[in-house]
This record gives sequence, structure tokens and C-alpha cells, in this order.
Amino acid sequence: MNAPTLEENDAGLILAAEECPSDKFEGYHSFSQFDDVIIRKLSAHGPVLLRGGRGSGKSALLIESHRRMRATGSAFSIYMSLRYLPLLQSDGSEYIGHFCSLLSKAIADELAVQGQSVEFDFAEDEVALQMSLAKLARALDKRIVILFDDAAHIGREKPLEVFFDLFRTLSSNATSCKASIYPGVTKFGIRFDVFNDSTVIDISRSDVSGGDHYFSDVIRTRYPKLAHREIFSDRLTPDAFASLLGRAVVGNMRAFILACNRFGDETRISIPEVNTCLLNMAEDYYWPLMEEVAPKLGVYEPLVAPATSMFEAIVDHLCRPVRQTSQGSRTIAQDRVTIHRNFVSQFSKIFEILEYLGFTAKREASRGMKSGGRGPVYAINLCSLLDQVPTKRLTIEMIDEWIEGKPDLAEIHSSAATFSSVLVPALAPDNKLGILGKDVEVLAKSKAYPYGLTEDKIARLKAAGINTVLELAETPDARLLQIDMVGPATVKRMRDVMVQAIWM
Amino acid sequence: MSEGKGLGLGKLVCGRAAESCTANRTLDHLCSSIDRFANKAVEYLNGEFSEEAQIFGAFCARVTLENACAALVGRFDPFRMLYLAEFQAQGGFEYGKPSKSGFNWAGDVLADEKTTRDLWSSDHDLAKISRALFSAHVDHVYWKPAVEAALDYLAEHRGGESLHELQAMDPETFTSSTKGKCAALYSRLSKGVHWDFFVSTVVMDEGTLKDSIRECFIQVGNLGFVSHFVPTAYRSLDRTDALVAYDDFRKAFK
Repeated sequence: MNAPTLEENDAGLILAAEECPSDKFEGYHSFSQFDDVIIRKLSAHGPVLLRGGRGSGKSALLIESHRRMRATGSAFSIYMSLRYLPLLQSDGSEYIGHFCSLLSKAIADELAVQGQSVEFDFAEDEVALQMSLAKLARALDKRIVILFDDAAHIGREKPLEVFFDLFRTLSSNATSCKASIYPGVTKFGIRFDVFNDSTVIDISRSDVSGGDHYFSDVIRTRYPKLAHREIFSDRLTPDAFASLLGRAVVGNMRAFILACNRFGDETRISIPEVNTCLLNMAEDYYWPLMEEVAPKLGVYEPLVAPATSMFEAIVDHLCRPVRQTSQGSRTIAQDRVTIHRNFVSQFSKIFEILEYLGFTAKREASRGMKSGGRGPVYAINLCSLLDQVPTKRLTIEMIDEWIEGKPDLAEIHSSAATFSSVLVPALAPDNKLGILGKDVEVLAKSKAYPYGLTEDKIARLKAAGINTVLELAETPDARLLQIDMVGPATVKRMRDVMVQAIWM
Repeated sequence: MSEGKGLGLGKLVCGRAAESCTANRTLDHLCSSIDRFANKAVEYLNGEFSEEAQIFGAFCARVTLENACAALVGRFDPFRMLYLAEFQAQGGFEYGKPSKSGFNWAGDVLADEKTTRDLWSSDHDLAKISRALFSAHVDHVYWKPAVEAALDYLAEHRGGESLHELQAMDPETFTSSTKGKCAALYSRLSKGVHWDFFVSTVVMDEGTLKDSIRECFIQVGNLGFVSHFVPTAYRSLDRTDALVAYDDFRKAFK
């Protein structure tokens, strides 16, 4: 969970835990009992993969595990973000070389931070790294836990096989590796068996039924004003508000924070205000997200268009019974749908992209369908759903039903024509990331990049011969500072928007 | 868990029957062992970390895991259980001597089989078809349909938070995933049982021990619940009772 504001940063809001200054981390994050179980797993012996969509809270959990291990001294832990451009652009031994030097440096830095007098032998390959780690564990008389953040991205699979090979090689009795990965990461290489070589933990918070107070707790901690009964109308309680927002964004913490921020200036919150928030989120958060992420998906970039049509088809399927009121079928759109597994397998990567972006969340792995066959159950974000309901009006009945999670679900059965218009293009074999070759104009202030660059700054970059995102990434700060009217604050802004553009 | 009541894991895994016979006596015995060790393990999981927990925690979890798997083997394949019960009652069973036909994790729980795509080839030799708890054939005839039936039942009977782990089960991957987790757990816990730590860095600390006990409970609880949806399994509980037993068990720890 992240801060509502961060005054020093002109970007106004930090959305990724890994970008949060360490001295502010504690103040901006809190963890539930369910989180504590995950944090314990991340601190224990054994390899773990932490899987969750963009903004689901993976980094916060990794960082908190690291903080707790550092505080208790139970193990020597290293938190390491793999957001490093050369790793994205390399494979094989070149990747291993970058990886080993990055990790060696991270370990040396952590030893220095902890004031340990032990030296770490800098390693350039995995064998040397294994030996250095074993030696370090003996010297410290502690086991080692390495937390790899941003390890595996959808659409950036090429170096993944090498990464999981390294992950397996480095795991031992004295060294436990943990890594955050995204749904849709499926290429683990031939040496890595995901069931036997790791424990996979899925972060899922989309279910707010059953009296779960997770989101109420988040609001109480981070937005105390929004936890007061007096601010809400008679029909809306603070708990219902928190659960509705949590369910609306299918449990995605980043989207939840963005939604809560919209109520910062409200003195009175009733259903129409929440209604406006959800509709605005559909318009200025969800759809721009597709646009923002498309060029980051590498080989899967062409799947963004079919993912958009598929999601529209699902929402249309859920809203159709409400539109056809003459048949008297439903007055409230169903918010979850069982989709026949044939479709899920046929369009697997598209479903993974939707889940990864937080448009949907997988609620159940397999449910029997009335029409025959089985399929997973997906919860759909309520913002996009409400946007397609004919009246676009949120009612108390909708809120009750969506929070409660009625047992009867919509179904898309195997012979349905729902996805007949979805065309999946052939994917190119190369793995180039579109975003790196894009013109720096893509970083301009927009719905996708609300804290983007001004036209003036973009013109200055171009005048200095920096035309693409990759060129900007490869230009050192010192050279950027030589550009007229570009000071440290502007360089920071350029770096922030560039990081948002390249990474998830 | 209400005080004095216990976790109820024995009943969830072993089911229940009233008749007095060898099979029931054996399963009642396993049920009582599971309860004794699991009730102790949950104290270690929920309580403050202590020296006693560090010394005995892994042992209690390991016995829970092994006895639960043995009970499930017995409920799916009563011949195997009756054979073991008879064998141990006979004079041939000696404490000081390994027994070739005794209960064995690698063989009775994990299958000693090569992965094959074609389960139903006419070339397969019957003697080589494994009836181990997690074998490919047992997955096909028992676990997969049972997981589907269990999920269908859950879909009809709404549950609260305690059912998340069950709802996440996928019939297609349930056995391979559970097998992988149980195998890793067995190995991890065995280090705590045999205490084969030659350096202090690898001794189980609080996080590792509690995580292992919890993981053991989750796996055994899921297997126990699903087992009542195998129509030919011995001593299955009524589905409603199985859900109540699971729910009580699952609410006893976070």
C-alpha cells in the first residue's frame, strides 16, 4: 500500500513500493494477518515465487520481509530489484554476467549498511556466486535470503529461463531465493519445475465477502478521515465503502490507493460520489492502462487490441441481461463470470494480460458450468462494469450484491459466440520491447502518464539529440543537466516518467 | 479452536465408522495419532516460539503428514492397510529390522513411476501400475474427479474466508502440485526430525518451523476434505460433515 501524497516529489504520488524512500516505508505501509503469513514464508527456508498482478503489493511484501529480517537478525537478507536495463536486453552468459555483478554489489552494499566487517567475494559467474554465498553464510553464521523483485515480466521471457536456472542453482540449505513474478509468466525453462523447485504464493484480495475487513483496515491506517461514520451518508457505511472500492478494483492495491485519493477533498460521501469515482476510474485509469502497458509487453504487444475487445465482450455479456429488461431477467449486472476452459486455454495469454493489468482477477480455478464443462471464475472490475450498465447509476442494491458475492454466476459456455470477433494476431519471434524504440514524445503528460513531461522539456531533449526512450535511459544525468533549463528536479521527473514507461 | 476440543484433523482425514473391524481399528488408531500430533503442532504454530517448539515442532508436523497420507492410502486402498495391520500383528514384524513390504513414503505416497503421456496403453504391466497416493493413475481415477466434485459442492454451499485454499484447487494440477509440496515438506521436516544440521545456520528458526507446520496443515486439510468426495473411499463423511470438519480445522490457525 502506498502514500496518498509525498510532498517532496513533484510527481505527487509514489505508486510503487520499490520507489518509496526507505525512511518513509514504515509510515506508508501496514500489513494484515494474511500478509504476515506471506511475509513469514518469504523469510523462511525454501524457494518461493510471489505471484500477483501489477500493483498488487508484491514489492511491499518483499521489502517488509527484508526489513523484518534485518531488524530481528534471523537471517542475512538482501532485497534486490532486477529493474536494470541491461538485464532486459541480454540473454545467456551475458545475462548471467550482469546478474552476478548486480547481486554481488547488492550483497556488498547490504553488508556495508548493516555495518558487517565481512567481505563478499565479487562473483562474475554462477559457480563463483554459489561459493561466495556459502562462504558468506559461514562467515556471518547466518542463513541468507535473497529477495528478487521484478524478476519476471510477462512478454520479457527470453532471459527468464536463465533467471530461473540461476534461482534454482543459488537455492541451498543456507541460501533461500524468493522472487516476485506476474501472472502470465509461464516460461520457467527446462531445469525449473515450478511445483517441485518452489512454492508459489498468489496474492489475491478480490473477494471482499465473508466479513473480511482488509480494505477497511487499509483505510483506517492510511486515510483516517475516510473511516469516520459522519462523513458518509446514512446508506453508506465506512466498511461498505472500503469493501466496495476494494472489490471495484478487484483487490489491486495500487488502483485502490488511486481510488481513495479521489475522495481527499470530499466532506460528504454518498453513493453518487462513489458512482462518479468508479466511472472516472473506468475512463481515466483502466483504458489508459492498456495504452501505457502495450509497448512494455514485448512480443505480446499485438495482443493488447484483442485483450481490449475480449474484455469489452465479457463486460457486454455481463450487462446484456440488464439491458434486456423487457425479459425481466436481471436488474443488477453480475460481477463474476465462469468462462469455459476451452476459451481460457485458447486465449490464455490474453486472459493473463487482463489479470496482470488488474482488469480481472481469477477467483476460482475451476467451477462446473450449468451448460456443461468447467472453467475458471473471474471477478471483473466494477468500474468498467458500471460504465457499461445502461443507466451508469450505482445503487445500494448493486453495492450490497457486489460486496456479498452472490453464488450464481454468469457463464460463457464453450459454444458461445461471445469471443467470435476476437482475432489473435500471429506473434513475431523477436522479443524487442516497443517502448525502448518509442519517441520521447510518448513521455508527454497524458492520461497514461499524468506526471509526464511538458512539450518544452521534450523539445529540449530532442534538440540535445535524445529522441527515443532508450536514448534517454542511456544518457547519464550529468549530460541531461547540461541541457538549458534542465535542473535536478527536471532530471528526476524525466527519470520517474521513464521508469514508469519502461517498467511495470 | 475451542479449548479442549482439538483440531479435528484426525476425523477430517480418517473419516468415521461405527463397526468394529480391523480396518476401523487401524483407522481409529491413525486418527488418534494424527489428533495427538496435530494438536501439539498447532500449539507450536499459534503460540510463542519456544525451545520445545524448535525441538519437537518438525517431528509433530512430520508425523501428521505421514500418518495422514497413510490413512488416505488405507481409505482408498483398504487391502494395503489391512495387509500392513496384519503384518504388524504377526510375529514377522521386528522393530530392529527394515521391512520390505512395510509402509514407505517412496512407493506408498510418491509413486516410483516414469512419467508417461499414455496412461492407458495396453503395454502397461499391471504390477507396475502404481497405486501410490499421488500416482498418475490414482490422480486420474480418484483425485481429479473428487476435486471436481468437491468444487461443485463448494460452489453450491457458499463459504467464508476459510475456504479460499479449497477454491483455489485446480482439478488438472491438484495432484502434481500437492505432490510437489508434500515431497518438499517431507524433506524439510525430516531435517528437523533427524536433526541433521551440522552448521547452526540451517537449524529451523521460528519462521521456517511455523511456515512448515502451516503448510503441512494446509496440504493435509485439502487432501482430507477432497477424500470425502471419492465415492469408493472407505469411511467417508457426509459432505456437510466434511465441510464442517474442514471449517473448524481451518479456523484454528491463520
